[in-house]
Amino acid sequence: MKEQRITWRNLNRTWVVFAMLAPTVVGVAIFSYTPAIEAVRHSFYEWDGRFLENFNGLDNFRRLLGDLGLWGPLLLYGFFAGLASLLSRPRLRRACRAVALVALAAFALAAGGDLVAVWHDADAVQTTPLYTAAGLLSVAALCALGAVRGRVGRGAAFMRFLALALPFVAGLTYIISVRRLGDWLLWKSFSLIFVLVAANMLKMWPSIFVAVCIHRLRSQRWQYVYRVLFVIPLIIPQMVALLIWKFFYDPNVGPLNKFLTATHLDSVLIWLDKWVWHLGVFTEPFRPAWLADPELIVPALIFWGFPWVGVVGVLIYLAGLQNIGKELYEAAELDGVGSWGKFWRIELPLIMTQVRLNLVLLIIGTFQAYGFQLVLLGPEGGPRNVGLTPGLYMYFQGFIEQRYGYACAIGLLLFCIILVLTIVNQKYVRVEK
Amino acid sequence: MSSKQAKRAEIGKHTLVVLVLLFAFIPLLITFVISFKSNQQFAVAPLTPTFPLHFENWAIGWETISGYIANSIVISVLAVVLTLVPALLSAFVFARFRFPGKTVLWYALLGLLFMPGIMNLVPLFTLLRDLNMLNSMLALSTLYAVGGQVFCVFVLRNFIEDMPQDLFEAAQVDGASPLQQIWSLVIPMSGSILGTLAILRFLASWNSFVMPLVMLSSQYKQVIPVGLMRLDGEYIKLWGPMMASFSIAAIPLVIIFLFTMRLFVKGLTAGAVKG
Amino acid sequence: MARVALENVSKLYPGNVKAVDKLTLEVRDGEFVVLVGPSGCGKSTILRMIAGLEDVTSGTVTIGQRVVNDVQPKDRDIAMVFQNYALYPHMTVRQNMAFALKLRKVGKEETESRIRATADMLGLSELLDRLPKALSGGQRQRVAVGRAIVRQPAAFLFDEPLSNLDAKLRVQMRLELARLHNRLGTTMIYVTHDQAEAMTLGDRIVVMDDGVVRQIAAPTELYDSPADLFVAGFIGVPQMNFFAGTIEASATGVCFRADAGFELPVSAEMAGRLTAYAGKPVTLGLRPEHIGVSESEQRGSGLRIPAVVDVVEAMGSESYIHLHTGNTSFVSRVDAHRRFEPGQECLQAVFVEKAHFFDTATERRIE
Ligand SMILES: Nc1ncnc2c1ncn2[C@@H]1O[C@H](COP(=O)(O)OP(=O)(O)O)[C@@H](O)[C@H]1O
Ligand SMILES: [Mg+2]
Repeated sequence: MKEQRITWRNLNRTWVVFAMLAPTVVGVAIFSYTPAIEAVRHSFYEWDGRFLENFNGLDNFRRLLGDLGLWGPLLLYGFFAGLASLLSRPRLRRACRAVALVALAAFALAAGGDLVAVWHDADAVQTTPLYTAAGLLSVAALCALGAVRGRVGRGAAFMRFLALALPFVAGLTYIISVRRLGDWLLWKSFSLIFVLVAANMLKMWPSIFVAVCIHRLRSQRWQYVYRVLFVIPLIIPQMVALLIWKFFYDPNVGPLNKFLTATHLDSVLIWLDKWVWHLGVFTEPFRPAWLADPELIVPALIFWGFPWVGVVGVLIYLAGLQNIGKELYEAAELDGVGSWGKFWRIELPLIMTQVRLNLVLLIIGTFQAYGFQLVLLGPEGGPRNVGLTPGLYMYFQGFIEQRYGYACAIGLLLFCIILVLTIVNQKYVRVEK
Repeated sequence: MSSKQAKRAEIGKHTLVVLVLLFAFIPLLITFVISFKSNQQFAVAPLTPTFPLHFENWAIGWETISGYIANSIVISVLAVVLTLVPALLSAFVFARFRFPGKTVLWYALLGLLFMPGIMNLVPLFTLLRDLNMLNSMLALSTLYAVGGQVFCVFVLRNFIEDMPQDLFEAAQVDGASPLQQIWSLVIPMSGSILGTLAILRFLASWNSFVMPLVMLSSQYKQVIPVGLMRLDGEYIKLWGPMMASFSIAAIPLVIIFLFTMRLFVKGLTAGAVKG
Repeated sequence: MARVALENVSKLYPGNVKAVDKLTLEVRDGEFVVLVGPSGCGKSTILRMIAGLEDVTSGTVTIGQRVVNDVQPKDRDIAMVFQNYALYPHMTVRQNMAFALKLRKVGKEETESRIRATADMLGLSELLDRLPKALSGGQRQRVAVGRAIVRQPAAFLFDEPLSNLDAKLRVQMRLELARLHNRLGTTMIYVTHDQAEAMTLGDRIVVMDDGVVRQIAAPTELYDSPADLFVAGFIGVPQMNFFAGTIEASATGVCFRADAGFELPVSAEMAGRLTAYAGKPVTLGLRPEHIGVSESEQRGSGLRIPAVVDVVEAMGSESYIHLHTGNTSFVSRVDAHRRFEPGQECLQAVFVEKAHFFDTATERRIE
């Protein structure tokens, strides 16, 4: 790369170059870094955004997570275990693993003491999750044994990964489910995230199928036409799309209920509810409020966007598919690979980069998303907070409850989680340029 | 594979794609149909076309949201300009110059891509309040510009580095200053990338609604998504005018796409914005 | 027009890559100087330092009477032609040529007349409104040169301008460049890795290797008395033959004993200088045309070496005979009419007065 060298010495000649950088740097410094730093600082404050601004140490986090004496060692363990799997130098790796084990032992001690202290209070200790945690731990121990015995190969690496990851999950289970420590609403919002991410993993397939279909069309002309047609939905403002879907779910005038009634699917649902589900949401007269009934909100969110073909997703997959050489198809043809075979053996592996990238962006996006739920369900995430995402919860604490400091602490926690996801993404999801 | 079979497979693919497209367009169609209905017509037959057509709905809709649209256009256009001009300048510097602290600065910028915007919302609000910039459309554009900055710098730097570097050297020997190089080399040669980025940023600003909801307090400065949201939240809904407003809200984007469609399809499918 | 002088110029790339080491070179006003050397020896770096595209680490660069170390490229009044031409792809030929003039605020009419004149000179008049992608390689090359000419600079810099052309076109363009220099009389500095180009174009040639100058001389001098082994091997096709050996001085005279097994009496004129090297390792250099071939012992002066033919390369007017004696191979250049078969044993006649001797230790020529 032939770049021109600029130094401070000949500044009288080169100030233009620095001046060209200035707008970006100044803008980012003021409007991105300043608030970020402020956010981190204020997560240690009791702050209402106006008058009240008291340093309160770790109180926000205590309230958020519960007993920090339990969390500290667990997080340390997670950090060093993660580091150990990322590092490549054997000695550093072993050192990290040792520190992680010490932290894990500390956590075990703290949890043990905690358990003994509260055991007599039968309500506080939930036994089922306790057994789950114990089960996870024993699986981890088995994996560790397996990893030690089977030294080489992928199997051993996976065992090692499990041996390091499962204790962390067990610890999480203990803190969150057994002791019910911390901000219960936050845990609830995380569980919603799991459901939504799982649903999204299924919801990304239609885009892939459609992209493959378009890609496999013989005629280049049609390929182009469809590509253009798939761009068009972008012109619908997101808010309009959202409000139209809201209208779609409307209990009285919405097309969904009209459709169900017209096709007599309503009686099927009513029958199912009466004899199988026992939810009491589908009754005569058939007027389910999809976005207002706590039992129906999550299904409604999952069904949202049917048939789940994302415009941008399709275009990105198409871009990936276009990189597949024609010879590859011809070779497969000669080898007698069928349609499905081509999809599973050629197309999918070769656009895996895009798929994984999309997946990771999707998970990160789901964590942060709150605008959508805000419009549909209001800042509390609907009745019984069933639609509360972590992002929305932060918005709620900040802008509705005026607990800005606490909101910042939630934001910091989310940032850390997203950072971990991003690092994992960088490490395991290679994206070719 | 016999040609008959092949033909059938081809038809199958077309059918699937068309079906999916239909689903994508049905909401638009429904909106359009309802936009000509009075509330009585809507109550009787919400989804099928009814007559007479109430064209006045569109007039009412236009009345209601034209102000929002104007605001949105001003803010989004401003945001695009404020994003791309600095991004182009600094991308050029990053691509063509070596200076002390370059690597650090670059990673400091890239790091922002991973910073969840959500964490910033509260302090950003108070920052603007302290700077006395709340309730200002210019400030909102600036926020969008800063938000999209890093991504654009990233894409543009890659693009400039992929250009033949001796073009810049030739221009330098010919007497072109960095600004002149950008003007007469980078901009003419990066048409499709710049266009795609501009549209993407325009869409992002156009669709954003939490920021304006939080940052703008005057009703008359509000943008289209918030306006539509308010419209939808009214207690007694006038379905016809509301749907007409929805349709009208899409018109500016339709116009933009008519002019830039090819560019955009090219940019997106070429993977220019894979990130 | 101007002279260009480099004085003790060094260039250190980041990572401590020494591309140019204490180079001193003076290019006189109106001279055509060619920098030649193997790829990666620092030729482009020198050119780019003269152009101002690269800072000098130490030393001074002078153009005309002005030290230009801290002068921006655009203020150095030089024009450069790049290997890949670097034509602005979105501009027509005319716009490409006008670009620099526009930046320099040359008037419209003046610009137009200069472009006219240059286009006429280079045969580009028909192509002025085409985009570069609609031109052939040779035409692009010409546009690149034209773009430099309209500037009427104090000096031209060429960085391997012909290396992207096919062989025939390269020879043709080479001639055109030589003609152009005669016509314009401007200082030109030309970089190439092709020694044939260097020999045909240069008033003087700078042979470089690994960041240092090996020899600066006119083409014939370079050919006839190369300063060292590197220059001797680099200039001339086929390459000069080298034989390792030692000098033996005895009562009967001085002679060179090759490791390959033959002995060569040294001409009287060289003998005096070579006696000092008695017993020391010396390399004998013989150009292929100075080694004759014969089947009997009748022809040529000097001594004969018994050798076996390996390969015969017929070039039309002449043939290159690849032979070996002992385990040393060498080439002889002979008239094409003489026939040799691989495996044939023959005797080589050596023209001793044309032999070069090099000190094996220092690689310098002994003279
Ligand atoms: N920007 C650079 N950074 C580091 N090393 C470089 C750079 N440019 C060239 N070099 C090194 O300097 C040496 C000379 O390069 P160059 O002048 O391009 O050689 P050439 O004679 O082929 O034109 C080479 O070894 C090359 O690897
Ligand atoms: Mg070079």
